[in-house]
Amino acid sequence: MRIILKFVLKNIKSNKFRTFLIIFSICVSTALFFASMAISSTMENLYLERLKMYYGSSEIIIHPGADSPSRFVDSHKAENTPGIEYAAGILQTGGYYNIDDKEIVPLIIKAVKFEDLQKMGVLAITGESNIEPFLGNKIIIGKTTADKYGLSVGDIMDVEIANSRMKFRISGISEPIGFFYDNASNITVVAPINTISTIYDAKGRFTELYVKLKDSSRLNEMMDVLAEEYNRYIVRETITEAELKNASSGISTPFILMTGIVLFMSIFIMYTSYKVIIAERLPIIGTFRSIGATRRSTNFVLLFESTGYGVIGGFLGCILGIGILMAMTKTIMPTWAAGVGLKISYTPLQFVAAFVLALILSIVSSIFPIRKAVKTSVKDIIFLSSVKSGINKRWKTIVAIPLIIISILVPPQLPRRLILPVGFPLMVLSTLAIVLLIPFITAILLRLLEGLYSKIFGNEGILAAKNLRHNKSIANNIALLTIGISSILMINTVSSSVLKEVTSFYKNLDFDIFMELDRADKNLLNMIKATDGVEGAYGIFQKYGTKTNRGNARINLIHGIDVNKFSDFIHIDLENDKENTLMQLEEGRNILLSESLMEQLMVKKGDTIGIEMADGMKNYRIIGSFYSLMYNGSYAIISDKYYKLDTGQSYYSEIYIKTSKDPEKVAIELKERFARRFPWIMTVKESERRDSQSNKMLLDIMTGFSVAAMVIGVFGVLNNYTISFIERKRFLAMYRSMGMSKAQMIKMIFIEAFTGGIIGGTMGALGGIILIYLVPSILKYLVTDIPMHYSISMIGASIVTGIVISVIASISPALKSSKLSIIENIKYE
Amino acid sequence: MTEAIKAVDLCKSYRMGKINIDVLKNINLTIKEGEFVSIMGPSGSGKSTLLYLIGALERATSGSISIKGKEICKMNDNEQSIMRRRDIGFVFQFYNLIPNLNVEENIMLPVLLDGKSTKLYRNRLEEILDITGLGDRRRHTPAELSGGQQQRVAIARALINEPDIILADEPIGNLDSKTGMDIMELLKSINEKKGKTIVQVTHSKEAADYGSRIINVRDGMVCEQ
Repeated sequence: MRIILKFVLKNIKSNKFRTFLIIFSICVSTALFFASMAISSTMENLYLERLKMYYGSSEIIIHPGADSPSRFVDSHKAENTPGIEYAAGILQTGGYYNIDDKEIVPLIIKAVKFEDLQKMGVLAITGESNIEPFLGNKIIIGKTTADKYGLSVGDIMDVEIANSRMKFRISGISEPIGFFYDNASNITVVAPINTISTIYDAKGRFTELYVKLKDSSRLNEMMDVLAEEYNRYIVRETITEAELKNASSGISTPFILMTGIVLFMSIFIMYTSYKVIIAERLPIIGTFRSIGATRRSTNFVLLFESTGYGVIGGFLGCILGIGILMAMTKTIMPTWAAGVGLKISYTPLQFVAAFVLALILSIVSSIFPIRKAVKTSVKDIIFLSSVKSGINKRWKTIVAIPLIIISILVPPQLPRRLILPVGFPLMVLSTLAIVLLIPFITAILLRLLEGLYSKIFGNEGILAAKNLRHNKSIANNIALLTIGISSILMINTVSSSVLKEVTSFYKNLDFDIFMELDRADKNLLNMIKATDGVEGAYGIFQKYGTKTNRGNARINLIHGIDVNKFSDFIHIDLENDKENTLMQLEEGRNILLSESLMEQLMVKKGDTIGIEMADGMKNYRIIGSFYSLMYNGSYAIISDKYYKLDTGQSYYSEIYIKTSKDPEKVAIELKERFARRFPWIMTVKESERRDSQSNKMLLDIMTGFSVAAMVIGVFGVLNNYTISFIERKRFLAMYRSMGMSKAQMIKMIFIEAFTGGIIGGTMGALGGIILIYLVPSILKYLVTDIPMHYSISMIGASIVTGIVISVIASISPALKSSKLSIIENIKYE
Repeated sequence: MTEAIKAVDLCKSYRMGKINIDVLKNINLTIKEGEFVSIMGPSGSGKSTLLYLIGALERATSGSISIKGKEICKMNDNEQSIMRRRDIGFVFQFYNLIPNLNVEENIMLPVLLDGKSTKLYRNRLEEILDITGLGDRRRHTPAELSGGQQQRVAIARALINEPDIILADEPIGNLDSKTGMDIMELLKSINEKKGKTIVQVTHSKEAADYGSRIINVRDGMVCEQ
């Protein structure tokens, strides 16, 4: 056994490139798999961190709702409930910070006992001066606010609360955590509870109660107890599972899908490499066997080798995976997580899973060549009969054609619940089918090219075409190029299509500024219209995440619109008479749905759907549909008349503003003018930029995955050309013995590579087109219905990429071939 | 008869590590047009190396070789390749056929390498298939042929460009004696009917006797002509 092991180790050492390729493939696949799995938990944890920062250690929040008897809640009941560790009462109000007489900044003022803040763990004081006792005109601000306005401990802040101005002294500055997790438009300050409750005459009453339990495992039970105690108030968990899942939903899936392609490619490369490794070693293994080694011991050594690759690749892959996870997290980290810092999360189980995957990849890729090779006689190996076993296996074509037909026809027809479990495997199968079809298509293309090549390249062209018909290594190269190019083409097309669609959504908006502000009514709308630079303003009502009577389906966004002016601000593509259809919304409880929402709810024009409004389900009749990507395509429109009637809401949710001047300047003007209404303002241009950026980040990582697949593919192609050269040395020597000059041989090798590139590129483009055709069904499940924009130039670029990779990879074999010794290679007796 | 092959003071040595091995030492020989010469000698005597040097498959260390009056050692790769295509036909012990090409395609290879159209060689191909008795095997690949048939294809390939010289390296070394003698008969008939100069390397006295002259090589030197 030791001598066989020594032989294998020597072989590994002498074939450094192949060893590198196998370990590299395993390492990259493992790393991407690990990162894809862990990105979901990382996102969940980032969100959890953020929520924890806000809610601290509290687990339950109690606050007044629409049906509550008061806008305050008292803490006595909670404090007296057994099992409660603390119930921290907070009185929240609004105010303004008067920087000078010209500039005022809205504030969120949280009044709370200092000890409650400490119990909750929502502040980390970096500087203080006589903070305790926290009474009178003391105030704590966040570090971000202090830096922004140049404030420090001991400074005085001129704050306006309930129409009266007060001077507060900054007694503490906290790190940007918890309540001080500041962002640009919300500045939170903490004031003593006694001071604020005196102003509002609300001693012992709060707007929010934060509760921590002594035993967290009794959360549900205690929620029920508190819900009974505060039966007309809202009692909810501070952090819900659903919220966490929602934060990470959809993030992992596309990465895992891409990892699938990378894995597929790795298996292919490893399988072909192992085939060659084993074929090379078999004669020696045969010799070992002839002198007494058992089949089991030789097989064991070969398997031991592949397991070794798996262990090394798996270990390195896990390390690389952490790096990739960090890079992915940094790229797609949502803006809300900026204050949390770059923190990645993974579980030991994910490590184990990735490591096991590496082992499986390695062992499975090697076990079939080992099994096949040990059955082959040593004589067959010596006489290179493996070359003539050929690639022209009809079964491949027979399997491939129905597989392609099924992959094309089935996914678009699948119900939503089957899209991932059936649609995605079919997508991978379609690529596999294309790979299986390679020998057939190659044969056809070569027949066509043979005639053409004789005219372009002369007889070397004919020879190259003849050689390609049966060259397994080049067939493998074509397969690698096909997989790599099709995945890159798919990702690039999806990326550009998504970005294009996002932009096209903004093209439908005929205004310049989004604005949200407190108590926005018609009077306020008129005031906005009267602002310098404002050409028009339109108030709209919006309701998010509305339940329907169709199972668990919700409508992401419902707009309540003024039917007369809607078209002046938003263009939607209604099938028929647009104005008339919009007018019909006023005539009753009528609703317009986006096309993908119609599909999701499985409804059609004329149907009635129930929508949960303030006082229960209200039935709306569907009068039409339109294409929109707004809110992932889950978007509906009703008239403001019925919206107000059914929701009881009287203030506009948002105001759309058209400007006659630079929107940026008008936005600043509006922000200053309506500062007391807590405005949130964003120009359409800025919103579009942010959307494109956040989409681009995600898509950039996807592109990174496809590039990883391509890099593995390129290494595979290089390896295959080297293998091909080793296998063909003897044939090349035969050509030389018959009078082929070195120049003719180099020419022939380049024509072969060029042709392999053309076929690989074309097959890649074909595979890519099929994938692009299938992707919308998957995207529809993950995000929304996004039409794909095929690009001829991208398809052309795919073919050119195939040619360039192939030709570059063949440079080394071509040069080596010119130094080939004819006799050394022709004689093997 | 004019000289088909002439070697003057031909030497070939290899380096194996620090040791210099002289495989051929000052070989001088002349082979006339239309001769059928058998080179014999024990293993390692240098007989095959001599054949490869004549065929320009290897470069001589010193000395010169002329093929039909042309000095091949001074030729560049392109000129040597052209000579191998047009003036010489090679037959090897292990046939050296391209496994993925059929009989016709294998035979036509030297034509393709010479940049000519195979269409112009259809009649010649038919004639050679007839001579070698491969008419009914033309679409078969080497794997579908017996050893003797494969060697016939190799001979046919050597003849397609109508070279004046055929160099055969142990042409029957891989065949049973009956098939081997059939191949020797074929070579003899080609020599006699087509007037081709044939130089074969062989271990077999029986095969060597088909030739008109035997050259014995021992320890890198011609000891008997």
